[in-house]
Amino acid sequence: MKILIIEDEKQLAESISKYLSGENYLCELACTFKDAIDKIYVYEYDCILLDLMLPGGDGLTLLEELKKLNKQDGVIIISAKDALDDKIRGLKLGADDYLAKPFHLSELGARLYSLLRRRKFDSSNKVAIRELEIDLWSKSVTVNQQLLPLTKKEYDLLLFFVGNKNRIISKSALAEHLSGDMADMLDNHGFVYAHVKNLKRKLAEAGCRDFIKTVYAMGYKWES
Amino acid sequence: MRKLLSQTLIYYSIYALLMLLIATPFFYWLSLKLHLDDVKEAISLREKEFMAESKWKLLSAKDIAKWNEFNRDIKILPDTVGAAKGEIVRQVFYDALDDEWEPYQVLYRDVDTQEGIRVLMVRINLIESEDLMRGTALISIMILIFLLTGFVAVTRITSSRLWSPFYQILHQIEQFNIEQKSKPDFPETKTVEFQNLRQGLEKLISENIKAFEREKEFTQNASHELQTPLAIFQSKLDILLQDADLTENQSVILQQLYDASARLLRINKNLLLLAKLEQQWFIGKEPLNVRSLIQEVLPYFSEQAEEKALSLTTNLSEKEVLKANKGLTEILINNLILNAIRHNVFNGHIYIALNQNTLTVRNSGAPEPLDEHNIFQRFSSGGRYSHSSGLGLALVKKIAELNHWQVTYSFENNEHIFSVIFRKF
Repeated sequence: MKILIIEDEKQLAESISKYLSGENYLCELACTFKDAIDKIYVYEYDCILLDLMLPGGDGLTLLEELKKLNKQDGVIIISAKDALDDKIRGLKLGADDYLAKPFHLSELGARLYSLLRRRKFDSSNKVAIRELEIDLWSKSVTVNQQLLPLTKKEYDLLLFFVGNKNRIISKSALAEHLSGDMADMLDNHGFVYAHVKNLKRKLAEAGCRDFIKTVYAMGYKWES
Repeated sequence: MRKLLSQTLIYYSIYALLMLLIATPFFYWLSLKLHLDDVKEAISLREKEFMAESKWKLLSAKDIAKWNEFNRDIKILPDTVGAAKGEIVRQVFYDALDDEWEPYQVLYRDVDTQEGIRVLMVRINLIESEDLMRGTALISIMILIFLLTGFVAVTRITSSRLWSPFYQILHQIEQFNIEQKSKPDFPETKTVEFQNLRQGLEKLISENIKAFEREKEFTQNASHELQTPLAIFQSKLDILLQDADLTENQSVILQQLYDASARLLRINKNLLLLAKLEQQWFIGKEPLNVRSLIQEVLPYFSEQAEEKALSLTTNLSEKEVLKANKGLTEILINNLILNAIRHNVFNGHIYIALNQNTLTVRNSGAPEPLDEHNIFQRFSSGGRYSHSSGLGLALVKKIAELNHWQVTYSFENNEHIFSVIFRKF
């Protein structure tokens, strides 16, 4: 999977690249508007991570450019401007998702994963990991062909883990993912523990092996 | 509190009254004295005239009778007078015509006539002159009254005209609101003092506006600038987390860094939001159902409440529909409930009630009331509660202000009570 990271903050771009490279992604960086345009014209990417404020031009112009070229690349906007206007305009111009800075890399990982999944398959879109199967369209989960009833939160959690396979996910990232805007309001991460525990229990009861490992003091890791 | 003009007039009136009280008896006394002096002089004069011609020495008894018959006020009497002689005294005489006793100034003196020693009596009636005197005093008083009332009236008129620029300026300042950016338009005036006042105020206000703008801009720029390094910081933590060689100690430290970073982000986010609120960025209003807004977030807060073993009860009776910005109203509701959870005690309780137009959040917590004047200030409690951003209630207040809602705090029966009174549009 080829990813283009258009981001003028080199440090941030490197972090993203490093995090994603761990999981089959091939990342390229573009730091300026011109740099990005050049790359877009020449190469095809599975997904473009696009910062809106770039030296030399506006990220939204780049989106328009992509549209003109009739490119099918998926686009996730990553912007420090958490303005609703930008978000709406970006999505209207064909961006697939919008992530406000600062974000957890695992959140980006999960969003990227589900975006790429959505784009790859049209009719049936299933993720299979050994005895576990997730149907992304119907949002149902089966273990050994047996339907596993999960709450919405548990399903979200499962996808988040699967989108960040083999990487440690911090509790704060999970909390933020589960409760959206309100996560950063309280530092209580106990509810994350409760949801993970429930998910693990349900998976175990259905006969699924224990993919979710607890990492001492830090968070969780999906190992498969 | 009295108005400037009425205060001036009060002093004038007190002065006028005092003048009248003192001047009236004084005028009376003075006219009386002057008149008496006059009368005495007239008596002496008449006496001198009488004595000067020396004809009195030739007066016979017959002459004296004749004289007395035709002279009313200068008489020659037999020497049977008991009153002191040689000086002017006051006496009353019976007036047969008017049938009353009337006051006189009288002078007696001996005259040596042919018939022997007789007494010359010169007298002047005071009754008519007393009337005159009273008249004089009355006229003086009248003049005084006219003068004073006129003075007060003139002061009244001129003052209200003189002070009118002052009152206009005052009115303008009362209307002035620094958040509306528009400078007050002070009236032109020809009075030096008011001109100076005007200039001074204009300078003060424009500098205030500038400072206010600078502060707002600074907050916004600062939090915006912080956003990127914070994003880098967090992404580096995420990378560091992946390091397989981390020891247990390092993992603990990393988790603490995560917590600190989360707090930094929260403060920054709220600061940015406050700055945006102050610039009135949020104009989009839509009809909102407060009840469903609360119900939407309750599951999250119930989860949070469970961790502190808090009992959370709600009584959302009315379906209140408001016209307001949805995002902001959510922030207001969230912050109020969040505040009730964060500052609660273990095993405590929270009670959320929504009726006709009031949202009330009551919670147990610290056993003493919070400082009513400070709690809605930025960072007023930041030092005491390590996990709060110190901005939550400031946000609540600001959002309420934007919508012209009222936020109140009270402490009753060991409960902290926050209420938002919505105003319908």
